[in-house]
Parts: sequence; structure tokens; C-alpha cells
Amino acid sequence: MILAGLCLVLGALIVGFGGQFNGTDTYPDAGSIDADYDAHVGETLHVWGAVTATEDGRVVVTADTLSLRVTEPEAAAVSVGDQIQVYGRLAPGRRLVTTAYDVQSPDAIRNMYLVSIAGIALVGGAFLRQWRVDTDRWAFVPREGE
Amino acid sequence: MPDLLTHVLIAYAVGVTAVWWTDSPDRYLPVFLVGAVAPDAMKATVLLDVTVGTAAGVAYSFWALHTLGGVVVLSGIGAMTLVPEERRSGFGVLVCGGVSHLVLDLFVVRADGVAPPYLFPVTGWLPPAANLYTSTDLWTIPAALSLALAAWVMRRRYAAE
Repeated sequence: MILAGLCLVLGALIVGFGGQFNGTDTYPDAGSIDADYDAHVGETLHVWGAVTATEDGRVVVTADTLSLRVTEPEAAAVSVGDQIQVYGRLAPGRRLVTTAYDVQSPDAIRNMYLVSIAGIALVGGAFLRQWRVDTDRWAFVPREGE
Repeated sequence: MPDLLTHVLIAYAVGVTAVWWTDSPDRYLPVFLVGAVAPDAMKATVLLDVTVGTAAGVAYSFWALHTLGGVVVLSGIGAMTLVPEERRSGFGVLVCGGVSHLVLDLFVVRADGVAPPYLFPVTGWLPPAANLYTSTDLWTIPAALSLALAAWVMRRRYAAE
């Protein structure tokens, strides 16, 4: 009963957060900016996307359906497939004048997931050393004193 | 976020100190660690590419799990998996672990210089981002490991006394 209530509250938080923040500066909707690009020219945008191409020495960043040629980083500094966050001002012709950016390679992201799995395994091991499942009550009980 | 190993190692160092300081039973240390990884449960939705969207006309975002409100509710759900006499303490420890996760994530590099609204639903305020590391900066692991080792040594000495 309590558990069902908590799950309902969790659902409310997920919907509440989406209603409050989807499409805002914090979580911009790249697809809707793409659909009406000219109306957004001059706005600042913080977009998380992927490097999808380099054209005329410029990096192309794509998030959802929105593709932007960015002034930074330089093409030589990235590879197609890198994940990138870029912050800057939208300019005519689907360009973004970069203020700041950060790039992560697919290899680095894979390594991050691998060490994260090691972290989860550590937590699981540490937890099960101190707690066990009581099959009578179907709950975790402390092993202390056993 | 930094990677989860960094989260766990820092949480271990903090948790050992807290257990020692408050004279709490050792069994709450791994509960604190579980709390410290819980907000990243939403990363499963990142892998499935369903984190943010609209379903049946209703906007949703699993980033809600990665906030104070998410931490409190996930901790409540986690506490319900413990035997009833452990739920109250377990809940508090899980919340503290979750808060440690959000605090560490304030230091993640954000190109726009502001962190997400981690205090949701209390407030939609965007805290400044400390821009110290990214999730793929592996130098955080040896740094966190040295803190965890120092805590481990302290714990062994304390236990031997």
C-alpha cells in the first residue's frame, strides 16, 4: 500500500518535472527549435548532441533533428561520433556561435560505463555482506549477530 | 555525474566518517552507498533513449529521479525492501547517500555554467556548476580512492581500539 503510494508519487514527479522543464533552457527541445529555426535566432542554447560531420572545416553537431554548424571546437579537435555539449548563440543559417563546449569520445564513455559497473558491483557486494534476504518476510535483514 | 565508482568511493569515505562520528552500526554504511548510486537509476532511461519525452500528450522526464524529490521517493521505495524495524533508519541513511550524489554532481562540467534543478520539486532554482570534472574524467577515481583508503585505514584503527 505504502509502496504503491510511493510509486504514484514517483510518477507524479516524473510528469511534474517534464511539465516544468521540458523545452526550457535547461532541457531545450532541439526538435521544436529545428521546426521553427528562424524564430529562435539570437537565443542562447545549451545543447547535448553528437558530432555528425565536418563541413568546410566546421563541426556539425546534431541533437534530435537539429543540426548546427558550430564556431568551436575546430574540426581537427573532434571526431565524428563524439558526444558534445555546446553552449552558444543561435545564428542565421543553422549556425551556433560557441561560448563554451565539452567533448567526450565514445571510448571515454565506454570506459565510464565499465568503471561505473565496477562501482555498482562494489555496492552490491558491500550490501550483501551486511544484509541478507529473509525469505519468511521477503525483506532485507541485518546479518549482525548471526 | 562523475562515474559511479567515484561516487561510491567518495560516499564510502563520507559514510565511514559519518558512521564513526554518530556511532551508528556498520550495517548502515552499505545502505549509504546504495543511496549514493540510486539517483543514477535514471541512466537506464538514457541508455534506452527515453529520458525526456511526451506520452499520450503528457510531458515527462526521468531527470526527476536525479533530484532531491527523486532521492526522497527512491529512498522510501528502497527502505520498504528492509524489515519494518530498519525502515526508518534505512530511509534516513538512503536519503543522505542520495544527497551526497547530487552534491558531487554539482561539480560536473556544464558548458552553460549552471547545474540542473537538483532541489526539485522544492524549487526550480538552477545552482551554479563548479565545472571541475566530467563523467569521463577518470582522474577522479585515484583521487576518490585515496580518500576511501584513508577512511578505510581510520576505520580499521578505530575498530582495533
